[in-house]
Amino acid sequence: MNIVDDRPDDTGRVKVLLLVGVVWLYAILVGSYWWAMVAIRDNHLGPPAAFACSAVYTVLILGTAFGFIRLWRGAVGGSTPALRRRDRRTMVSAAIYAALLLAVAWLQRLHPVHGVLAYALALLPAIPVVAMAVAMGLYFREETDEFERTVRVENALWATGGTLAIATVWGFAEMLAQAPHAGAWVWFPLWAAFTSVADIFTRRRYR
Amino acid sequence: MRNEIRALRAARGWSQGDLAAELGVSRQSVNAIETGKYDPSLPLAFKIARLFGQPIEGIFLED
Repeated sequence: MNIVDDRPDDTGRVKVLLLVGVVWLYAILVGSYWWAMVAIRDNHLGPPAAFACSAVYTVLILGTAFGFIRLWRGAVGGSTPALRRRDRRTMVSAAIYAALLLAVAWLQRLHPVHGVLAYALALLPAIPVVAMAVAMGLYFREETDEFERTVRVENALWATGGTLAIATVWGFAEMLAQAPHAGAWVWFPLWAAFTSVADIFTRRRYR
Repeated sequence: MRNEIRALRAARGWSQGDLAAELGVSRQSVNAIETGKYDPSLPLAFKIARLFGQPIEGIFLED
C-alpha cells in the first residue's frame, strides 16, 4: 500500500534554519555595504563609486531574497500556480523598485528638485512597492487551493497585527523617548517578513 | 470534524500526494483535512465525496 508520504508537515525546523540563515546573510550584506560606503566616503571616491557600490549590493540583496524564496518553497512545499505567479510578480516589482530607487537617488543627488517635482520623483519607487501589495491581493483572488489561501490569510492577519503593534510602539518611542525615526517605507517589508514568521506558527496548528 | 478520508485513501492505495493531485490541492491540504485540523469548504467536500463515491455524511462525521 503506497501511503508513504503520510508524514506530518514537520518543516518548522527547516524554516527556522532558513530564516536564521537569511537574517545572518543580510546582516553580513548590510554590514559590508555600510563598510564599503564609509570607505568610499573617506577616500573621496565620489557619487559614481557610491552608486556603483549600491547597484552591486542591490543585486546581491535581491538575489539573496529570490534564492531564499526558492529554498523556502522547495523545503516547505505547498507551492501552487497562484503562488508562483505572485512570486514572479513580486520579483519583477522588486527589481523595478531597486532600479527606480537608485535612479531617483542619483537624480536627486546630481540635480536636486523640490516641490511638486520632488513628490513626483518620490512616487516613482513607491509604485513598484504598491505593485507588490497588488500582487498579494491578486494571489488571494487567484488561489484555488482553499487551505493554502486560508493559511496565508491567517499569516497576513498576524503580520498586520504585529506590524501595527510595532509601528504604534515605535511611534510613541519616537515621540517620548527620542527613538530614531523609522521611515514609513519600513512597515511594508516588515509586514512581509512577519508573514514568513507567522507561516511557521500557522502551519504548526494544522499539522 | 472527524473524517474517513485516510481509510478510504488507504483502501485505494493512494498516497496523500495522489489524493492531492486528484483534488487539485496541495499535499499539505490533504494532510490538514485528514487530521481534522482543517474543515474543507462544501465544494471541496463534495469533490472529495464524489471522488470516493460516497455521500458527504459518509465521509465527514460530527465530533
